[in-house]
Amino acid sequence: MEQVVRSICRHLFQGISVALIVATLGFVAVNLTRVDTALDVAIARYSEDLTDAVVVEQVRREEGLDQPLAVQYCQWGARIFTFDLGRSLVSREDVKDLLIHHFYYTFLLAVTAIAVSLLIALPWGVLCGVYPGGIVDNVSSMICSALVSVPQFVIGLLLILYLSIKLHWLPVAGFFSPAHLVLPAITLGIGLAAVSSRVIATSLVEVRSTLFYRFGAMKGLSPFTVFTAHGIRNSAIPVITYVGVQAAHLLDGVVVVETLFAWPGIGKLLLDSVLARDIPVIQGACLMIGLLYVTVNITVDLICFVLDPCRRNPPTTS
Amino acid sequence: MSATLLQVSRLSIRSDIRQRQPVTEVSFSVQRGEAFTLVGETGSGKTLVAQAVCGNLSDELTADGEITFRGSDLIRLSRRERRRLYGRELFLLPQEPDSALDPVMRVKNQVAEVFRHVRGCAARDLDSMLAPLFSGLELSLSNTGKLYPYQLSGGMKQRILLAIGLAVPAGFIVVDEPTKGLDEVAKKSAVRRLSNLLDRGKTLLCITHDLKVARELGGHMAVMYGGCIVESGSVNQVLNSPRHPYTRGLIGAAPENGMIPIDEEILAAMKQPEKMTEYCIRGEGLSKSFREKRRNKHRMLYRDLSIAIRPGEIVGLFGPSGCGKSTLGDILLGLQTPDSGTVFWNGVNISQAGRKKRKELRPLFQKIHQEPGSSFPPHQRVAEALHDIVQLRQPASDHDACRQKVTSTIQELHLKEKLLDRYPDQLSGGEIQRFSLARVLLNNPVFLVADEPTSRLDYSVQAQIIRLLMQLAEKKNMAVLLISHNRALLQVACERIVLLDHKHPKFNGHH
Repeated sequence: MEQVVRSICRHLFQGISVALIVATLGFVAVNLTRVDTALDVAIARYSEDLTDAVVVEQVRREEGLDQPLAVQYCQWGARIFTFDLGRSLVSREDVKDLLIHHFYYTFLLAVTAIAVSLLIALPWGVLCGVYPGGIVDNVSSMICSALVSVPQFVIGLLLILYLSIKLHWLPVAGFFSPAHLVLPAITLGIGLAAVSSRVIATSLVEVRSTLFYRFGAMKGLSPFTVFTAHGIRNSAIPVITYVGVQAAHLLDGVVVVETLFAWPGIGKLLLDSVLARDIPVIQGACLMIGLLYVTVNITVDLICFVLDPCRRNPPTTS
Repeated sequence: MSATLLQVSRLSIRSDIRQRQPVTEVSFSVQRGEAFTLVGETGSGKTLVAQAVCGNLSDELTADGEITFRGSDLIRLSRRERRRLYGRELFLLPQEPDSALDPVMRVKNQVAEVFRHVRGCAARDLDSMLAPLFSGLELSLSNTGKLYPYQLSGGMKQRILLAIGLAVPAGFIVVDEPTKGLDEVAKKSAVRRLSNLLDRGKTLLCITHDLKVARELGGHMAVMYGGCIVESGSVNQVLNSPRHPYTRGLIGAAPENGMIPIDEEILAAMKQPEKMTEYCIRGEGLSKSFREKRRNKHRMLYRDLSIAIRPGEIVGLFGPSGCGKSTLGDILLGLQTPDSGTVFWNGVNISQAGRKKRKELRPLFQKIHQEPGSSFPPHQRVAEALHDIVQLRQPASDHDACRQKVTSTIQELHLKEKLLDRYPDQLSGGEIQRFSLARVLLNNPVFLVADEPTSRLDYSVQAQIIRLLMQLAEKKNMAVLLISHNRALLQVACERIVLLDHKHPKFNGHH
C-alpha cells in the first residue's frame, strides 16, 4: 500500500511541476515572437478593418499588456492559486469555463475513440497472439504498418468521402448529435487499434510461452480456462500501460482530427488561441493538459497495482 | 499384485537435422504405485525419455518405439488426445517453482482451479477440499493460501506445486531432477515430499543424477549412459550388487563413497551415443567463376569441385589468397550460389529445399570471421549481443536463463564472466575471437566455417584457439571447415586438407 501512495505522490509532484513549467514556457514563447500581442488580440476581437492604433492602445491598457512581462507573469501566477485562470483576451470569456466546455468534447471523443480501438484491437490482437506467425498474424502485421504510416487526415477524409458524402450515413462535421461523434472516433480508433493490437499480440505470445501457462495445460485445464485464468490478467498489464499512453495523448487534444471534423476539443481551442495570441487561454490549456497527464498516469498506475501484485510490494532482492 | 502402468519399449529418439540419436532402444516398465528412477549423468538422455513420455519433446526430435500407457501409445497420440491425459492420467511436476506459478494469482486459487475445472467441484466445496491438502503440507490455507508467489519462500512454492500434484487426479507423475541445485537439507525434504506422493497411491517416474534419490524412493531403477540403459532392476539389487562396471563406477563416484572418478577404460568400452555417420555438409560438382571487370574475362575459381565433411571432422582448406577459399565457405553455407553444382545440408539439397526447411537448418550452419570484432555491434556490450542470440533461438527464455546459458558457454571457452560487460573494442584479439566462437556455439551448429580465425593473432594465442576448436569439434560432434593460408597449421589441426589452386582448377581436391 505504501508503494501505491508513494507512486501517486511522485506522479502528482512531477505532474504539477511539469504543468507549471509548460504553462510558463507557453507564456515565454508567445512573448518571444516580438509581435505586438495587443495588435493580434485587437484584430481577433474587432476584425482587421476596425483595428487602428487607438483600438490597439485601448486593448493594451485594458488587458494590462502595457505592463512589464514579469508583472504579467506574476499576476497570472498569483491568480492560479485561487483557481482563477483569468479571462480570454479575445472573447473575454472565463478561461476556466472555456476549458471545461472544450474538455467535455475532448473527453467524449477520447473515450469513444479508445472504446472503438479496443473493440477492434482486442479480438484482432488475441487472434494474432494465439496463432503467432500464422497467416492472420502476418497479414495483420502488414495492415498495421500500413495503417500506422497513413496520416490520420487521410483516413478521416476517406471516411468522410464514403460514409458521409457517398452513402449519406453520417454527418460530415460538427458536434450536434451523437452521430457526429462516430466519424472522428473511428478515424482515431483505427490508428490506435493498429498499434494496440500488436501490443496485445506480443504480450500474449510472451505469456503463452511462460512455464506457468504451459503448466496450466499439464494441470488438465482446457485451453480456454488456461487463457482466461492465466492469460488475460498477465498479458493485460503491458496493454493497459500502453492504452494509458494513448489516452493521455488523446486527452491533450488531437488537433488534426478535431480540425478536420470541426470538433470543439482542447486541441482546436489551443490552436485558435495560439493564432490569436490569447495568452491566458494558452497558459490555462497547458496547465490543464499537464494535470490530465498526471491523472491518466495515476489511473494507469492504480490499475496496474490491482492487476500485478508484485508491484504493490516489490521484493527487495536486486 | 502390482500391474504395469507404463511400458516403454525400444524407445529411440533421433534428431534428423543434427544427424544424431541421443536415445537408443530404451526399454523399461513402471509398476503401479511404485517409484521408477532413471539415473544418469548429464547428456545421458534421461530427460529426453521423460519428455517423450510427457509428449513435450522439442520439434526437431522424433521418437520411435512404443510408450504404452493405459492401453494407448503415447508417441502416436495427437496433441488433443495427449492434452486430455494431462492432469487426469499423467502429470509432470515442474522443478522451477518460480516460473511454474502464475505471478498474479493467489496460490490458493492455483491449487483450487484443479478442483474446480478438472475435478468439477462446486465453488462452495473448494475450501473444504483445500484445507486438508494444505495442512498436510504444513501450509496455512487462510494465511499462505492468500499470498502471491512472490511473497513465498522457495520451499513454500515447492510445496504449493506438490499440493497441485496431489490435487490432480492423475495417478502417474513424472518428476525431472527433483533435487537439482538444492542443498543437503532441502534435498532430504524434497525426497520426503516425493515419498509423500507415493504414500497416496501415486506412481512416480523420477529422473535424477543422484543415486540417493533412487535409494530413498525405492521401487525400481535404471542406469542410463550414452542414450542406452546399461543396467536396470530393483533399487536394492542395482545399488547393493551392481553388475555393470559403469554402475559400480557411478556408485563409487558419489561423495560418501570416496568420489573415485569412473575409470576411463570403462567409459571407453561402453557404447557411445549413436552417431549417424552421414556427411552433414556435402558439395557436389561445384563450379564458380568471376567476371573480371577490367579485362571482361571470366576467371574460373574451380570447376567440378566436390567436398564432404562428416560430423566431428575438421577439414582444412588451403590455397593462395584470391583462390576462392572464402567463396567456397560461403557457397557451402548457402551465402553465395555456385555457377553449377549442389550443396547438401544433412542430405537436404538447399537450392531445392523450401523456405521453412532452410529456415530450420540455417542456424546450424555457421561461420566465424577473420575479423571477429565485426560480428559484434560496436556500441553494445558483448553480453547483450550474446543474450540476443539466446533469445532468438529460445524466445521463451527469461533474463536469468539467458545469462546462465551464456555464462556456461563462455566458461567452456575459458573466458571469464566479467569480460561479458565489456565492449568489443575493450577485448583482446584472442578474447574477441573466443567470444565470436561463443556466439556461434549458442546456435548449436553442426557445421562451422572458420575463415582464417587466427590470422591476426600471435602464435601462442593462435595455438589456444585452434586447440579449442579441435576440442569443440570433437565434443560437440561439429564439422569444421578451417580456411587458412598456413599449411603447417592445417596439418596439425585437420584430418584432411583440400587444396585450391586457381591456375590449375582441375587439380583441386583432396590431398
